[in-house]
Amino acid sequence: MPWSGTLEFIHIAPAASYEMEELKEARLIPKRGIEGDRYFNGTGTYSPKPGVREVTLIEMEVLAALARNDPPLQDKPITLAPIDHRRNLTTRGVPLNHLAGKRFRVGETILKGGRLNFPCKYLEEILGLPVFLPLYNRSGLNCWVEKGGIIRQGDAIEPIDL
Amino acid sequence: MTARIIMKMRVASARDESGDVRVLTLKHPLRDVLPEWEPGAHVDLRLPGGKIRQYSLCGDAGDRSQYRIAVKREENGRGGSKWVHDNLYAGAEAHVSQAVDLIC
Repeated sequence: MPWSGTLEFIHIAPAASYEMEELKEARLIPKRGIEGDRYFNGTGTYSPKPGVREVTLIEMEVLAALARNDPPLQDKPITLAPIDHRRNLTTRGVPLNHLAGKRFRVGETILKGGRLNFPCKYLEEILGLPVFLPLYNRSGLNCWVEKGGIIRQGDAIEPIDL
Repeated sequence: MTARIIMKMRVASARDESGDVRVLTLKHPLRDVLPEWEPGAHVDLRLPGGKIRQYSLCGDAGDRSQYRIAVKREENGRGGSKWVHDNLYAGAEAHVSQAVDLIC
């Protein structure tokens, strides 16, 4: 197996701009997303815009890089906590940038990578942190739900399409 | 307009003062430290149906553990203050934005 990772955190927000809430488990529904999330409900900031964002993912490794100010784009490290980055799933050991167009397993569910997530000025505004440039090209992946089910914190994440 | 986080806060205490004013102390059930603010700042309070009312923060700006707002009941207003008086008691949930300073 070329890689194997873990689902570290699950977060949803009930509506645009609302704080994210941590879940220990969540239900994924094909063509909708994560039950209870603003993109599932169609009330997200970007819901009216085209493009898939049923489930959004970001790597824990990126948050770790920001925390050690790598690359040193600003004076000091940036603490971007999993509850604050506004993506749904925080992963460890998963090469998200390589999964656009590929299917992979999260617990009993299957996701398909859509497009790479792009950092947004909205996140900078809402956090008051200069995260736009440090997240460039590593802002995560927007996915479709291909097979629904329950995901749980700690679930294994494994490739299907290589 | 700058985007800001909306928090599900808890009414820690509600005190009625003279002149139909209710003073609400708001705390976050999960965060001990709230976004900072300066005198003159306000918060957006979300009402049912997506309506928003702005209230100035009062109290000690150095106390990051709580926000405090005072809402005068306006019988002939648009209904926001009446909703507050009818619904926000100690223990109620209130959807409140992080503080917005007057001069940014």
